[in-house]
Amino acid sequence: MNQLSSIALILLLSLMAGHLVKFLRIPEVTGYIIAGIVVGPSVLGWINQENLASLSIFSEVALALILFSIGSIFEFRRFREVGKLIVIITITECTCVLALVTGAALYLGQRWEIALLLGTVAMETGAASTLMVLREYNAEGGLTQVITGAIAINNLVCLTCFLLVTSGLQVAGRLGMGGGGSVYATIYSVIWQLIGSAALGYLVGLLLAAWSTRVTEHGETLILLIGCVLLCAGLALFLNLSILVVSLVLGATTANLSAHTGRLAMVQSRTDPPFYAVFFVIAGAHLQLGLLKSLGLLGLAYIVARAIGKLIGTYFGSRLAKSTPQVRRQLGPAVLAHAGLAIGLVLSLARRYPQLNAELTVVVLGGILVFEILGPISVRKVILRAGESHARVAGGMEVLE
Amino acid sequence: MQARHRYVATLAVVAVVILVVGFLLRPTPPPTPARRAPAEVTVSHAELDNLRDLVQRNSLRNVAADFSALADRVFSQVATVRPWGTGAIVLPGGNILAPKPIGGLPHTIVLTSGDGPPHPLTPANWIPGVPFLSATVQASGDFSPANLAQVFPVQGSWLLLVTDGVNRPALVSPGVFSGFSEVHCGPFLHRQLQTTIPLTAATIGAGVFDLSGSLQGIVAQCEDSVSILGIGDIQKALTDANSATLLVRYGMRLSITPATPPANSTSAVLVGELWVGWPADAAGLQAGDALLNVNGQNMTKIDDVVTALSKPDQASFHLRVRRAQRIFLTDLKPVQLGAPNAAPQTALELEPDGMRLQHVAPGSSVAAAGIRTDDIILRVADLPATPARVNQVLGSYRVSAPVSAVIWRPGRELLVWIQP
Repeated sequence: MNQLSSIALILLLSLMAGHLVKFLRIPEVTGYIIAGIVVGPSVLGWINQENLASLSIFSEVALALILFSIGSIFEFRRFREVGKLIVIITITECTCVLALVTGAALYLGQRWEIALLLGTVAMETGAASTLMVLREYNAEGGLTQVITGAIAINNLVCLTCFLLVTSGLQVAGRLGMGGGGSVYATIYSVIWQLIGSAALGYLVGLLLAAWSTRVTEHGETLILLIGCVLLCAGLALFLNLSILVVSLVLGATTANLSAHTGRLAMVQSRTDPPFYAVFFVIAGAHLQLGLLKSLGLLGLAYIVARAIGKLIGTYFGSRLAKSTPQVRRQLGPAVLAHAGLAIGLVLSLARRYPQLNAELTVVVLGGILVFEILGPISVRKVILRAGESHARVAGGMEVLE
Repeated sequence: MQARHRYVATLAVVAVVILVVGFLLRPTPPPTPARRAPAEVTVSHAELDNLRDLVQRNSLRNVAADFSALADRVFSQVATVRPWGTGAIVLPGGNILAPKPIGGLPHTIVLTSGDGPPHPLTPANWIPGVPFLSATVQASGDFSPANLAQVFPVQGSWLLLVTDGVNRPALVSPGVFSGFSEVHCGPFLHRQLQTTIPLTAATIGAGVFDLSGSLQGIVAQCEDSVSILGIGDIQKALTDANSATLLVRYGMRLSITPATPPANSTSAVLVGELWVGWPADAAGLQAGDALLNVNGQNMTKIDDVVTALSKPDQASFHLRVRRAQRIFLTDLKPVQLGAPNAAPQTALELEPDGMRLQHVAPGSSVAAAGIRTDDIILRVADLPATPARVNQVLGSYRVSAPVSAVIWRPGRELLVWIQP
């Protein structure tokens, strides 16, 4: 199948899956992901590895757009209200997941460096799928704000921890050959990925904010937005920076400096659905059902320990931060999704350090398969239960579900 | 407002400075040496890092061309075995190696390669305990023999997995070699190649080739997992196992022909080891005898002798044997498996699933060395004990040369010497 027809197939299939899941009362994202699994190499094989490789550019753009919209949570006024709360909750949650997953892996006899890496990757919360569910149900309110913020901080914390852990292990010589390069190169890469990325995101954000005062039309705004997001992603690839951090900072800068944040967000939300559909179908196609069979005890432990860590961590974190009882009870199930960044991290590990246990990749990818299907369903439930869903009906009237 | 603008501008200047300084201070990658010829197995670390970076940034797209060129070259060395569909490797000399099918050996086997005509094989020789079967194909232009690896790849080298199967497209999957580990496959301890290549049941039978196109290993099912077994170990295990089948029927192990056979003789198969009191001993054979002919058929290869002597329904085999310059005839009668009291009693019996001795025959050399029932055997002849090894080395009443064994008796570890 050539590239154009595979994109067409993906778009139409995702639309169909979207219709279908309405009956099943599960989020569209889950439908897209399941559609991806079905047409992907592991079931029907209509979309093969070659198609997936050539469509990876869509994934990059969609991920950058998603993180851009998450970045707007860092708008100073909004962040001042919930920032401290979110930071405390996220750090408690990450610590719990790290401790439980690492402990479980050690208990099952894994080497400590493998256990530590598993724990670090397990911290991650799937930003894209969670945010998509929030958007599908047009969620608004206190809990939604905490969820979005917690995810943004979570991804930053996870990436930072991952960079620190791999650099530490690399410098200590625990990862064997493969990382290539000196202690200087290792430390440089940590600093460059975090601070360099933030600097790039800030500069492009400045450009976007300044230019957005000059454009008024919907079409022009869209061109400016997509251009800036692509510029970020492209420069990040060229300079070896983290697309995640660059896009988050771009979103944050724009939200703080542009007087037209609302218009930008509106333009984005009207334009990006095709990107997201392609993104999630591709993400689904990448998941291999066969992995489930080979997960084993370690895989099960990873899934259970991560889920418990997320639930307990958010509960105690919320208590510590003295948040509302609603957040305390319902934040945990809303941050179970696991994808995006975790896939990138584990694949980069497998490529850079091939001698690391192959189980690591299998366990994480298997865990992602489970959490990526259950996570969005769980977010939907939380949003509906919290009464923060404002689904629009055909006539444009807003109804409270 | 003025102050806010000042902050924004200051931050922008800081960001620019960070980017410029960061870019200038980036660590320089080690210089890339000139591209090596593919005939060399090793890849320099710098080259590997470049490849990894490529893979990381552009997925496998950009390096795929390099691998597909190699895959085209080695694909012809992988044949398809019908009816069970896994790949097979044709070795130089016409032997094929194919992994054991799951669910039993079919009655007929057909080997094909590329668009060549199907090539029927007589039911192959399937040795218990080895995850491979070996069979001989007629010398035929249809099959390209694999180029066997002379050296193992260095850690970090790329390897390529190539397979073929019925109704399944060729599977080509590159990965990086990261070392060896030992894995038990039946009674044999094999060296397993550790790579980043994903292994599934569908890859069983695939060949794993290095960058020079030499065969390094074959994917097989070992107990419950799928592993890449090093090619050298597979051939050794096959030879060992071949001889082992004769050991349990005749108390005889075969060895290969010496490099320079005596003048005026054709190549022959030698008797390597004999157990006292077993059929081969009773037939008057001695270690070093050359087996020339079984039931009127000339023997030149160990496999031929094993096949000839493994026929189940024959009560006796006529052997033509050469010892030094003398040639004589003798009859060899196999142990009647299952017949009461027919088999000579072995010197020891192990628990079915362990190394603990259930029985030590009084009067045997093992008993004379002080080994008792309930001892646990840890090492035999300086090697880790496996049931097969214990039975082979210590199973006969008399060993042919002194053998060391390390045993564990509650509370202590003992080294004993078993004397002939």
